[in-house]
Amino acid sequence: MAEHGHEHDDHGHGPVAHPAIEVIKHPQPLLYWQTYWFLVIMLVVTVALYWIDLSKSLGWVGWNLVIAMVVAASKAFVVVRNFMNVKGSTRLTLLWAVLGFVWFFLMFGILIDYRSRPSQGGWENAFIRY
Amino acid sequence: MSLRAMEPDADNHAQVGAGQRVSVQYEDIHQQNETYIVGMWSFLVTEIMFFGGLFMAYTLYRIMYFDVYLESHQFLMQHGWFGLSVPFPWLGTVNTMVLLTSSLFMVLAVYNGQHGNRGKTIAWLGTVVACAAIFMCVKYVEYTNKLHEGLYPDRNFNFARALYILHEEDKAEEHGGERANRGWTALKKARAAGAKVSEEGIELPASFSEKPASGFDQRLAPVAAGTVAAAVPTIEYLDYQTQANHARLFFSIYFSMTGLHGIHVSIGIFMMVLLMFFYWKKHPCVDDYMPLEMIGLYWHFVDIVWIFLFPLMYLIS
Repeated sequence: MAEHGHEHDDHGHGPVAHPAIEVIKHPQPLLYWQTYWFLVIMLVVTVALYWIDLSKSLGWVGWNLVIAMVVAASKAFVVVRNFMNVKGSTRLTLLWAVLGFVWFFLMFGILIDYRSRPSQGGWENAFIRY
Repeated sequence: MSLRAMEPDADNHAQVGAGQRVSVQYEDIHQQNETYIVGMWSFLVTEIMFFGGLFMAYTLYRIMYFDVYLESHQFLMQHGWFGLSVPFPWLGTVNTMVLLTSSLFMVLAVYNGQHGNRGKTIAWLGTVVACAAIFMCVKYVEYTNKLHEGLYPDRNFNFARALYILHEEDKAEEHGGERANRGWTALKKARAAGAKVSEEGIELPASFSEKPASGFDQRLAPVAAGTVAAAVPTIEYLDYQTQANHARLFFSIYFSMTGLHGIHVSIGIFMMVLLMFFYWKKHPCVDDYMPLEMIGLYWHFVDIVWIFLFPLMYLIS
């Protein structure tokens, strides 16, 4: 079957495929193994980041967390792309997969509220105290 | 037209499942598969929001009480295992490795399911279930340790005792107190002021007659006569007490998040065993590999949650 529908009629054996329908492509096991070894290496990096203090060389105490989160996000990205096969899936699937994480980050916007009212126990106090 | 009237093209097995049939409401097999997968993803989006609230709470309190988070995460480490002089999150790392491996096994099960290799599908699913079982066993060991150390945030929560145990472990390994242990320092001062740390909690001499503040009474068992379990009326003890409450918050979030994740793993085990049973029985519901594909998506989601939980809970620096 052609990827975007039939050129000809199938003589009443079934409906003609709609041109908008996309075919889901499945990767080969080699990609799965490559993804797995990437994940293992990234796990080693995650654990190593715990002992490597980047605050002195990069000048901010939060860099360790930021880089650890970037590493975790890269792991999540390859799992979503290769293992969950968003790469080979349709555009509608991609939309849903991306949307979930967009909502997730939108929610973190509420932290602005905590940031902006120290008098009511926001974290500004914590910065002053320690 | 019956539900199974249409078979996909024989030469098209690389893109569709071996035994897939098109239901009457779909244009073709590709549309049907997309519907399955988008449906599952819409469920996963609700799951992301479900865990999102907890990640949000974690982030907020980590920013507000970072010192206590730093101190509390030491209790998730294992001290002196395999001759290592620094604490290392052995159990957490093993669990991460086990989950990543199970994800690989899951895609291999789906791959074989799609190609109609029934035996291999059951075998790979078996390895995923085995990995999930190892994960839950390790989790059991971790949880029981926390409970015995008095770190479960119920009325038996006893941060003083947990700090005491940590301190004793630290001494036994004879390595320098490099870790942040403000709580322990405050506790030492409190003891100098007359408080006594025991298995039951903090005990005070009867000479302290202050009324115990509400929510302070965290004894495991009634204390001996002539003693009162209450706050030591010193600044150091109040400081310690504040930290203990914040540590309690950390452990509430720890148990909520890992517990909810553990429930997801348990549900995954149940679903995979069910799938193995259906494959073994050659049940018609698994002629189509889509149920397996969807449980696979669910399992990878559980894996992703752990990918974030591991550095956030175990590796605070």
